[in-house]
Amino acid sequence: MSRVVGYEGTLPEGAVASWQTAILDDGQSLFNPVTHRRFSQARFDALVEEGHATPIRAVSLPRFRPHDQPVVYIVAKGAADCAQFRVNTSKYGPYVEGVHSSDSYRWVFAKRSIFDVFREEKQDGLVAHILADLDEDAPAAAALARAGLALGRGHAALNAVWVHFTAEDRRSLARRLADAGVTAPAAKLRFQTLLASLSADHKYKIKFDGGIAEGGGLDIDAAADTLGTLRELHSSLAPEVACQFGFLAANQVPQLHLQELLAASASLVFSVRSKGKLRDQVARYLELSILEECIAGQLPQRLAEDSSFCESLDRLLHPSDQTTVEHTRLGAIDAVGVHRDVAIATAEVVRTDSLRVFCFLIGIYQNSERAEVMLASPFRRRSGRVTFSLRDRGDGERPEGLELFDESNDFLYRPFVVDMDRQILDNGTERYLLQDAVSLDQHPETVFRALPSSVVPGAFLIGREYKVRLLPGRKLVMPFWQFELEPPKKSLPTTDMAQFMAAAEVEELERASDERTSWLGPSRAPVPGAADRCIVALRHLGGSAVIGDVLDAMHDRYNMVLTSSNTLTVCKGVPSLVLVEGEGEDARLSLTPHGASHASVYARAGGDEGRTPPEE
Amino acid sequence: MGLVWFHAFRGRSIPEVFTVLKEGPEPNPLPTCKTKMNEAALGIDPPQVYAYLGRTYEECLDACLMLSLPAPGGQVSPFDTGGLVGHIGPVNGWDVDDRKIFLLEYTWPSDEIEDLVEAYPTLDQPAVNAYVQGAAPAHAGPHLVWTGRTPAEIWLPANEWPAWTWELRCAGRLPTGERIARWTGAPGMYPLLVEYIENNPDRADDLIELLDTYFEGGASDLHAAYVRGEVA
Repeated sequence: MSRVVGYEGTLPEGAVASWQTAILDDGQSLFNPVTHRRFSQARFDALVEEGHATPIRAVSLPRFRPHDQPVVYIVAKGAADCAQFRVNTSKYGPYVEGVHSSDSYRWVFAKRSIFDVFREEKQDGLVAHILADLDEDAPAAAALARAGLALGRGHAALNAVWVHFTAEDRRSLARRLADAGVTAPAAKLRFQTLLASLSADHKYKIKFDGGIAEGGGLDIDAAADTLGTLRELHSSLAPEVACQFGFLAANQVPQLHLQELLAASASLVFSVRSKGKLRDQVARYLELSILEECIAGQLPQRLAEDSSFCESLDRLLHPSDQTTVEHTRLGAIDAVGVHRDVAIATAEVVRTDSLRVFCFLIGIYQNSERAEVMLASPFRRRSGRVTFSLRDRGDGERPEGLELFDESNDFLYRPFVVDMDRQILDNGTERYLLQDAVSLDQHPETVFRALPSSVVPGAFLIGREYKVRLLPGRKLVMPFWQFELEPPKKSLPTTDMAQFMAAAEVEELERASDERTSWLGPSRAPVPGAADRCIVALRHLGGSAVIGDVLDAMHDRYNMVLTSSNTLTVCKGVPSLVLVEGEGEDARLSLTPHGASHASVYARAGGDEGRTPPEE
Repeated sequence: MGLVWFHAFRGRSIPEVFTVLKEGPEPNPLPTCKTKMNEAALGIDPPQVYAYLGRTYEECLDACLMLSLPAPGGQVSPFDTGGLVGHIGPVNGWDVDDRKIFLLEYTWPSDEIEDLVEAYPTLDQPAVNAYVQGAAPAHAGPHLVWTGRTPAEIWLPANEWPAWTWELRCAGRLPTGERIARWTGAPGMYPLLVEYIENNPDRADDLIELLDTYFEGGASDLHAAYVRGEVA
């Protein structure tokens, strides 16, 4: 059994928190799980002596796998704000263990993937805390935001908050530093948006002309319809804000704030100003920024696939044939016309799959019209989220089992089993319709029959029935997983999905050759990654082949010319899936048992469609 | 994948880190350190600072520099010189003078390194990939690449990768400046770096440039990313 016995490097003097590669001992020798280099205890002692490594009390990793890359996370005891950086170990169950020393808190994360989720959520949590509790203490807010960059220097929101709260005489320098830290193009855009949201009293204006505004002004009915439509849009925009900006929950996005209603010019002016916390201002800004993008024709994918949102948006922009609309974007002076027809999801349903899945309810939005749930899915943040209407199950009727929502608002993060229809549309998209929801708090024993795939996003493993029970003592039990829910609320925070997903992945791979199971593929075959292409090729070559044959197979299948060195590098990056023996043109690639299962699932779940990937 | 040098250093305090980045790392100051003893055994004087081509010498590191291949102002050898005293057989068993002659014969000015790597490991990509992963060379020893010199089969798999890894050694400081391709340290260092720059605005222009080459994640992550071809 492998044990973590130390970590690479040392906690820098003055640092509040850091995270570093764990050093493991598997009984044969010590090794670095990232570089796979092995060394003796004496060598480790020398590295400690030289200041290149730090020993810790040993932590056993009973489930260690070669690609886990465990991490040690360290927080300096006594440092300012150290409490904000601590880990709630109950959220991560067996995947994290505390090994504190006299001068620092230390936690061993058994998997890098779980630590990556932790640090992103911790950074979002720091932003949420600053916006809610430190918005009147700028020095403390700036210091905490800056310290939080230890968890990841490219976090857009944390950088924006840091710059915003930095003293004016240093702000331009902080901005330059943040620009150096936020390097990914999408993060840069988010950073700019968030910085703008923090800093000014922006306004957004929608103006109608002709039609309902003919001759100037609006009839009361038209004005009421327009405001009602905006209210409907909010019910979809609020969860979109929460999805895009993890430091906000959908229920923290206040209603749109109408600052001015200029009847004579038929203009609606929205402001981000708020009497409450800075958080409200930021949330309003972010909602308006998404709304203006939608009005300009740039709909985020989730909203583009939300037919009720598209219908409401179309109604806002085309209240009558003769009405034209223009808007003045946040921070802009000049109005621009809106001419685009909103693409309403009118596609035909080509297939409907009825699925009974286990999930956690993670959001209820405006007037309980829509809900968001997190399914067990690949450990990719947010990709497992699904939203559906709580008002319409597809035939105009309300889904069953929603009484709990009417009686209480204490249902978030509770486990549910839901029956839902997945409709595959002829435009290649899919839509989920809730039919029935069963709360495990009310029905402690039930079953589900579909498990979202961890190999092919959007696919579901079916053919088995999984009993799930909520036992006294708050223990959630199913055949391949059990966990004690967080006291005292019986709730399960989203971060605990990490454990469920890891167990679900093992369950899925074990079913790879089970004839009693099958997979329902997604609406579109996934674009294969570099490793996927190798795995598909190897599977078609019988599981083992020399590099030249693998390259030929990949060329035939994907029409790509690849080099052996790049392909070998890719395969060496997934040692649990592909075994590489030899070097250069003589190298032989073989699927490991884990890789063979992965390949089998990939094919059965609809990933092996031979789709040509985009040029690299 | 291009070949680059790696040098480990201790990154405990920020002024110390910036000094290393701006002025270059210095030889280990401890008079009792193993490096000093090896240098004495091989007649290397004055004390040197070391870097290794395509590999990090230490199995785990505190902080790490990744430097571009051109290396003015030092000397290079196709093995770890300390190993001649320690683990690299058969040379470690030779008498002192023979070891010194061997080292001398396989030492070149570091500004010749671009020509030298054409001979070993060559510019052939599979050979470079094998080299950075620590695989033993095709030849049994450097005498089969640079003929006419003292033969020694030090590149056989009985030895380990330090026996066939290029070493760069410089007296005084190892030149850095624009040669820094990437550098890294404990992620907890980053807030301290930016705070230091905030507190030293007169040096900001100079120091912010260094953040362009900062790699987040620590030394093992940096080397693993290099081997995967994700950082140049």
